[in-house]
Amino acid sequence: MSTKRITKEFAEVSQTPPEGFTVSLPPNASVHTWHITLQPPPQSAFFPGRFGILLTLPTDYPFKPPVVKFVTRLYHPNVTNDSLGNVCLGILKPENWKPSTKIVSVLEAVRNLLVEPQPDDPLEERIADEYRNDRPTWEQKAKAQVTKYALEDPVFPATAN
Amino acid sequence: MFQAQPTPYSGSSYSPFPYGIAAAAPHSLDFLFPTGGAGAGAGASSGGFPVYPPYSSSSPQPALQHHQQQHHQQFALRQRLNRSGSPVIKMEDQDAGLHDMAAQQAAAERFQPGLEGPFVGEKTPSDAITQEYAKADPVYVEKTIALPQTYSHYRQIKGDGNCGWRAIAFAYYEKLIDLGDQARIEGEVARLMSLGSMLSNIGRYEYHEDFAEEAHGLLRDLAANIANPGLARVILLQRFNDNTVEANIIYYFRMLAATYLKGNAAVYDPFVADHGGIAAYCSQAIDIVNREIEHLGIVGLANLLLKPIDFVLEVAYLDRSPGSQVNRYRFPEEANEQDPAALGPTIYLLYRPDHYDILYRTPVQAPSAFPSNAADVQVNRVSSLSNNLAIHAAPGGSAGFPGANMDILSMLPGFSMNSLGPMTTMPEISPMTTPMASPVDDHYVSSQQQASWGTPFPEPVPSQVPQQQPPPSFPPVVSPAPMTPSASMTPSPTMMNATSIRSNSSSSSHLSGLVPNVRPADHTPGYRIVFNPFQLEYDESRTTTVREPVDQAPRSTTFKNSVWNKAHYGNPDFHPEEYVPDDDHSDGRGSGRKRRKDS
Repeated sequence: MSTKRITKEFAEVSQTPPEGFTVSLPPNASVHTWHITLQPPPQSAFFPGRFGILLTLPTDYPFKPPVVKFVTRLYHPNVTNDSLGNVCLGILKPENWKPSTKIVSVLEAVRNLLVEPQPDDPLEERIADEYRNDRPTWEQKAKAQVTKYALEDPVFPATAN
Repeated sequence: MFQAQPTPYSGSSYSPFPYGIAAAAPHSLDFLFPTGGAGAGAGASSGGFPVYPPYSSSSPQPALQHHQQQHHQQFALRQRLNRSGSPVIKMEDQDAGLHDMAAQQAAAERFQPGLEGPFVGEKTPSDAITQEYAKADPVYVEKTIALPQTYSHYRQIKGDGNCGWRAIAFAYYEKLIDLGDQARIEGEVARLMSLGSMLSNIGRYEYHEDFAEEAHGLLRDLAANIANPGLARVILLQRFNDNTVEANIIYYFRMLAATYLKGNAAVYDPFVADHGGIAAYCSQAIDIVNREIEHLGIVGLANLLLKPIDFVLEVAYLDRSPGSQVNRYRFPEEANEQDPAALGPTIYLLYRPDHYDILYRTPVQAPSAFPSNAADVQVNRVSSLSNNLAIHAAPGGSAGFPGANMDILSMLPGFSMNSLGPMTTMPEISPMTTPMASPVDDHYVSSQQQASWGTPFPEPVPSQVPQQQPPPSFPPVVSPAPMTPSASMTPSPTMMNATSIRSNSSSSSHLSGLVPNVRPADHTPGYRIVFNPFQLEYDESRTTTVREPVDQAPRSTTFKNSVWNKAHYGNPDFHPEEYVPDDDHSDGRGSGRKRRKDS
């Protein structure tokens, strides 16, 4: 059932992707896993990095929110600074998720998060403190990680399904 | 129904200060947890004897921030538990312990009780509700006993947070089948489809097609099979028990309701000023899955979905408000003043705090005396059940002893136990039973009955006062204060009718010939109670839910702040503590005491 909607949404996103995004399906995988590359706009501290995002749609999508994970490391208050790359995004929290939300909106929210982190709802409290109190240091570290991890094409993990 | 409670780490954690103390426990997790039983014990001791963690001197952080953060920590902790098997908890944040209460709270809030049963159940006699409440508060007992008189059947709806939406949606389709008019159902398809642009433009739903398609598709299928209503009903039940189908339909109904409210924002904005207007309210309370329907949601649905086709929604509220009947309210509002006979097809819902089921009204009969009468008698029957007196399981079924006979008889329409039961006491009161005093007499009789059957309530229960007051305290003519509006609204002819039946019965020997052994006074000492299956179920569920891990010494109690405790948020099988209203009744000591007092 949900496959129809996912297919429709994928067609939309891949034909007219939101600014900065390229979307593809991993080879031999279902439409439930999307490989997304995001290049944040110049005003972002993460410019000119290219970040890989793994979007997984649960089987009961749209009634459960999509799961968004960064496969590229980044120094960000709302993204775990480890290999998991969990993202804290308000509209994706189970208690806030609305089935009528399109994936395009989710992607736009992710891009906004890279332009403007939300230190008041952090996953990495230490980075959030730094972002709040010592912005130059934070930006420096963020840039350093961009140079270290995000200048090449993102490598997506082999999909399990 | 289900009430999640934040599990306190210590019994005294109501003041903010002990939180800090109790929060010491998770630190002990680091090194103690993998050692199993020892870990549980030691963890508990640190909760019992305050150990001040090093971070307690650090500068206090704003509580709000902790709260927002806690779900991430909870998540991280779970992950570690899951990945490594033996949990190693890395304390990234020195303040993490302080978040422990918050994490516990969050775990309790997000806990989903394992709900059983289908999304939409089969139509069942509503006596089941009466039975379910037999042990509950007397107000519930009385109301649920009266319920089957008006609503013969009900349909259980799964209480997963969608029940109100699901109940209305299902009942809407079912009513259309009842009407059996193919053209009308097809008209509904057209009408709902025409609302599509409204959903996008006013409702601002960027995506609604799939949801709508499922809802319209079901209408079309029902229309196609309307010649065979039985089949149509099967289709309906099947669709609503199919997870994806019903999720789509329910979401469609949510969008309809929200769209109506948004389209009439000027009217409804003031109601939700604290949410910041109707649009914000919809996005917080209606657009989110598994969020229960509220009054405004019902208003929206009633106006957009039901009112245009002249459907009426009547909700029966079963709560603890005073009265002997459920309170009813109709949507749309103006239907409340209208004569029920003049209303269009009506959907009946039963509301119990936080839950909706569908009700089916008994076909209207000629006015008769029996409803109020029968209700009166059954109060006696069930309130004594609720007492938890010694239960004599009837060997060989209910026919084994006279008490059961009475139960069965009382269910026969028009065969009131008042006319049979108190025969021994009847002669004493009959001088006082004048038609004028009939409402009083009603209570008078029951109080007599109870007196002769032993005291059903060992301790004074205030709401039972009308039945328990000794006869002399009733003024013979004036209506007593506890008379409920619904009861006093009962036309007095029926009451007089009831009275006359009763006084006749004292002399009519043919009635007592029918039931030779009905002499309540005979079994006063050990008043027999029909074995109640609900009782057994209840006891079993209690013993199984408080199960402890098998590797624990069977005698030791799991301490509250131990991760072995299922109520601890760190437990992989997390299950928050639940409030069990009957706790004081069911523990051995209490019931033993009562039993002694009663016998």
